[in-house]
Amino acid sequence: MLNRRSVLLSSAALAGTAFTRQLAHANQEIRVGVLSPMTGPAARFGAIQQSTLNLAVEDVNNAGGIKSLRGGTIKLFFGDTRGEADMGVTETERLITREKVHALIGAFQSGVGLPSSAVAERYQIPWLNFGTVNKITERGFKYIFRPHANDTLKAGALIGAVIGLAASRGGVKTGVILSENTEWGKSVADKQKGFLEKAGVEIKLVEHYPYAAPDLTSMIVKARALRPDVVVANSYLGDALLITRLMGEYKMKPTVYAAGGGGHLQPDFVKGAGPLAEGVICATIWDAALGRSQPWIKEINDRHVAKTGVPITEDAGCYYQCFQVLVDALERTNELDPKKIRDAIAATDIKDPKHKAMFVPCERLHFDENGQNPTATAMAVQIQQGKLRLIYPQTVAEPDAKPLWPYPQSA
Amino acid sequence: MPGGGAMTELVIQGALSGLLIGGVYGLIALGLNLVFGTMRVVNFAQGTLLMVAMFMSYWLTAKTGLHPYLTPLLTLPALFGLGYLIQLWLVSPLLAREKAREPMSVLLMTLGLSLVLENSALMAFSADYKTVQVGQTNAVWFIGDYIISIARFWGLLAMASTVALLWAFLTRTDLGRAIRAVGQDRQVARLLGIDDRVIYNFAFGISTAIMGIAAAALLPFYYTHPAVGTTFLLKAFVIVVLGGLGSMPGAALGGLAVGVIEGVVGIFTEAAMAQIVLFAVFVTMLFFRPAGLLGVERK
Amino acid sequence: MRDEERRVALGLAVAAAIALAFLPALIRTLLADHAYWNQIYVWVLFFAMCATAWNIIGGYARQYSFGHAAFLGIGAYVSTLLYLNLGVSPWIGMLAGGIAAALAGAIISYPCFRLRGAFFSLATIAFAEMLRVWGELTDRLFGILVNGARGLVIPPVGSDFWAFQFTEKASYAYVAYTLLLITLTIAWAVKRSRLGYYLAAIGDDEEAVQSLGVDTARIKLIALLISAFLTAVAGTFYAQLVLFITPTRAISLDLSVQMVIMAVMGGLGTVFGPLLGAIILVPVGELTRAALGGSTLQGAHLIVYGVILMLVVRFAPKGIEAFVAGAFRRLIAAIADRLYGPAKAQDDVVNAPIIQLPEASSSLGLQAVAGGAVPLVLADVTKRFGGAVGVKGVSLTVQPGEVVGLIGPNGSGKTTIFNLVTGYLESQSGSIAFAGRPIAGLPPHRINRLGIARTFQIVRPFTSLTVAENVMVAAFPRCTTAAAARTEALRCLAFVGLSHRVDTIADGLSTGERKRLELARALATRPRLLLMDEVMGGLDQRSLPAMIDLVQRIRAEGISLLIIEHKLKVITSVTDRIVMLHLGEKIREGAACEVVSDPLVIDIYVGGAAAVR
Repeated sequence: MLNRRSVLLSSAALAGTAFTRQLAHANQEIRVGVLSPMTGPAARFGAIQQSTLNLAVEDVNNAGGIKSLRGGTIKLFFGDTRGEADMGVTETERLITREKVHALIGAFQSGVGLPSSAVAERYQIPWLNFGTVNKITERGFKYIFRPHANDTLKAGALIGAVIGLAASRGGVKTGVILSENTEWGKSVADKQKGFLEKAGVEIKLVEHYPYAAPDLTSMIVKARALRPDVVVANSYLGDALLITRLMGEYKMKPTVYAAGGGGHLQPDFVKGAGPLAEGVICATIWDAALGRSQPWIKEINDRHVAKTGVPITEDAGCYYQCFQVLVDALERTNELDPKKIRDAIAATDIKDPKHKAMFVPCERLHFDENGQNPTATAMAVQIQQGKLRLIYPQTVAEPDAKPLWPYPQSA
Repeated sequence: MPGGGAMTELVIQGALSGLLIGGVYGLIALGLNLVFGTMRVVNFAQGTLLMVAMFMSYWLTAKTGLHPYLTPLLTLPALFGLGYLIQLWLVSPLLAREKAREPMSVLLMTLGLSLVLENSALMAFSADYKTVQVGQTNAVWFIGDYIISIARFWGLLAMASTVALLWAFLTRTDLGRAIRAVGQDRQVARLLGIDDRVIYNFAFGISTAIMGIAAAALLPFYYTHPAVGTTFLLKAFVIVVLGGLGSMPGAALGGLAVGVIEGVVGIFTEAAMAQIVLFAVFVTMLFFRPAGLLGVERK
Repeated sequence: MRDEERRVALGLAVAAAIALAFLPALIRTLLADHAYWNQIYVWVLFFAMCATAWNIIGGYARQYSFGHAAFLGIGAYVSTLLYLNLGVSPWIGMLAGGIAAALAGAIISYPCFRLRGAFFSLATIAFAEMLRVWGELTDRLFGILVNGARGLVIPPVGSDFWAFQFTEKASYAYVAYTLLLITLTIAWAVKRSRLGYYLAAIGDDEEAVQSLGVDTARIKLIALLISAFLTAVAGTFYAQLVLFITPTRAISLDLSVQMVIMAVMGGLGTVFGPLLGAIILVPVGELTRAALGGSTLQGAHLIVYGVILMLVVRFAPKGIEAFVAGAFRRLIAAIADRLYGPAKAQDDVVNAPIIQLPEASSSLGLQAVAGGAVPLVLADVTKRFGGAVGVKGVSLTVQPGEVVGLIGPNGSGKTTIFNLVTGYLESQSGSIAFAGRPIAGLPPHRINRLGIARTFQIVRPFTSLTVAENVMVAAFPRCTTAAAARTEALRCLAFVGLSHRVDTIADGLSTGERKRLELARALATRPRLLLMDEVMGGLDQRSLPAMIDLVQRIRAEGISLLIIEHKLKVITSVTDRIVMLHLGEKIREGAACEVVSDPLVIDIYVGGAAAVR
């Protein structure tokens, strides 16, 4: 049992450390919490998010920190969500109450981000969100901001790409959607179904599976029997690999294999799926190919490749954007107060395509009263020869990336 | 969903695929069964031992290029030794202390062991999914319109051979017979001069070694990651109860049955429903026929 | 413990309780990151609550449930759904959740409690997993949004008592503390009540408890209902703390296992053990995670849990409560000595309150029913085990007031007859009647209530209870208070001559003493017919006369006896009639001296005690 003596002793010790921490604040350290899946099945995503952000922080700190806060340096505090919603919640709370962060970026999986951002709202700490589920910015919250596209835009881009290609190549009539069963999978599957049906495609099967499921054979057997023209998968990494391999094993031959994002965009997917990855069309919010029109984007990506050996992924790119939005807002505050930081973020208005926050390009980076950037857009890429090539919309499509049609494995 | 004949085709394909993975399920249940049949203890660490075996095979394959199917040559002795030591150091002291027929403390001890093993692996290897690519990985055979995954087929074959070998061992060799004797009546076996503690060590060692075979069979088509043990463990419990405690053929058949149930139910509903159905079957069996399909009712 | 020590203990407990009530406030004023430390404190209290609730069925009765998180989930979901859909305050929802969980417990108890040991544990895992998977799959239940794996978010409303939400972690700590106190009080009350005695006995040897007239299934059910209710209350607290629930997390095997580990580590079957377990393990886990957690060394705290569990199981299976309690007792004694002066010598010797114990030869006062009552009649009873025959076509009768001996070589079916009569086995054919009514097929506890008691061939004392407590278990069905049960127990113990051992743990008795304990226990159920299975077995020559005398005295109380025995001297001196079985069939019956000099009997017993006089 805890007795009085031990409590007094430990609290004295802790009071001491708390005091020294107060001293540290005099140097205006800006503490930014980052929620990422550092371990668990989505660990690869987290690792790249971390390395990208570290790069960004280095840049800011080496350039003299945040000038309006007397050259204050930024320190990142990573919270491991393990890809689970309740871990995200507890880690968010820990970052807020223990590490006393002034702002948060997170959480990759929308199923994690949804409840975790609610914690930030509760404690009134600004939260810059990566995660595409619409609902995140439809709750009337004041502290949650999303600079990039939501599910509707991503689904629209994906289906737009598919239908656009199909139009001149014989059309597609039937489809199946295989989606992981958390917040993201359910939300994006809905939107994709809507868009496909509007384009006249009959959806014969929508199945949700647990993303950590060890075996999906029955699902693929079922899908195969329906002989769909379009297969859409909304998966993280492990399940993306499993589905793709099973499709190869069972000789499923869809005309087009499309992915809502996430796992199929990862370098590890291409590595693991080998030739089966060729021709997969994915929706994306950001791609390194954007560097062709904006060399500064390419430069940052190259630096990341030099350091880690892998390019920046879609999600890491969005984390980068969130971070830059935060930096931009910090430069417009002169007080390290989360409420003031929040107000500064809300007042963001960026049009310069060379502004670092335009890492994910859009027309005009600002936020509506719900925290969503209304000019955000989405694109579609296709895996060609092991690389992601932008193919949609026409405005950003790489000219030398001729779309592959149909999905080569079906040849 | 397609109707009529196409549906039958689907169901058969589902059953076939299930049957194939059932082979590996059966292997794991065999290990569990051997320990329970001999010592009347539940080895909660059986799944994590499978995970350890998978990592062993994985690293051998990744580092030396050895084909997964050849790794048991090295992993089997190592795993046998591991199991032997676990029994010797961790379980034996408890059996000596407890007089109950089925000591619960062993369940807790093996539970603790599984926590330690699983999370040590998590720390050492991180939670990434690791896979290998070998010739068998996506290869299939066609039988008419039906697809047989070659890798899973080898798994089924591995189980069948293991069951046969184990059966021969248990019925033809002295050690095997001693194991069965101890399983039936510890006291009497002792009176006959059999040192039951040594027998237990061997049983545990063999049970762990069997995981090496399962691991090698799984590697070509399954992930290796620290949490893989839990998934298989729960299924193994269901199988052991379904097939009958203490019965080797029961474990094998139980494995196949579980695989088929999963495969077929998955066709009609979501994959996750198959889990519920399995557990429902499990509970029903526990209730109506705890001895399992092939088990022997004890006094 | 003497009265002064009791007073000191109570005083200390109250003082500690009050001091701890102020702990959150203390943390809040003294520490800069008080929210973090109060959060840890809250988790300690929460897990202590869960583990204590689990202990009521898992520790007291050794029914190791690994599915208790299901009750947590039920509590969390019921209160949350009521709040989100009907605006019901979670305080009320908490009670509704508790009832729902109790209901669920009642439903699964019937299949689960028929299973023993590891099977029971596996069944609980299966049920919990079924619930979890079903919860993850289900988006809507009768139109109500349950949201499957995505979970339910409870909108934060700031500090609102009625909505069971607070902005201050300290407030949550106060609530958790209160709930924990209530849980501990209930756990303590259960332990001291008749229910507690039954549960402890069930944990030791359920079958033996049934032979004492206790409906063990019903007892386990009651314990489970209480346990489920309290766990669900904790579940509601959890939901209101985190404001977000998913089946994956709330109904996870992880949580169930943690409850078990804390209770095991702290001390199964004790009231404060689980609390101790939580106090140690939660901060250890939290600090390990904080110090080593983050990107690497994930799961380090679980390694620590696993190692601790293994060490505890191996070296301190009773948990650390034993050590802590010992130290605590010494502390209390020291304080009492200080305050009240040292204990006087004789105070310590006699632990039990002094009552006038009857002489070993006095009566049990069972009011023997004279004549016309209670014959035991077996008619043509057959029992097979698979291919082997246990008994075949056996008929035998025990008249009121008779002492019948049952003899035969090993394996002849004697104990099988006992098991058939007392309801542990069911016969395939034939009938068994007692006092005119058929009893075949009745469960053991019912048969005992009708007036048949038994002892076991290999004695089965409740090893974790004292001698007096062992007999109290048998006496409770007929008594209203623990004090009355104890008086009755002491009387029976005096009758068998074990008064000098009343407060010894049953484990520490010699074989002869255990036999007598078993008799005392059986007698406490006020039987009219007593089946004794080799009570003389293992006794040396010197102890025999006393035991024979005891048997005569039992007979003198008017109890009919059916005795299995090998020792000839006993058989001939005690019994009126002997029945001999061989290979499951009755081959001889008659007066004692006739049967033992029958050549066939001698033949069968060749080399046995019967051959030599």
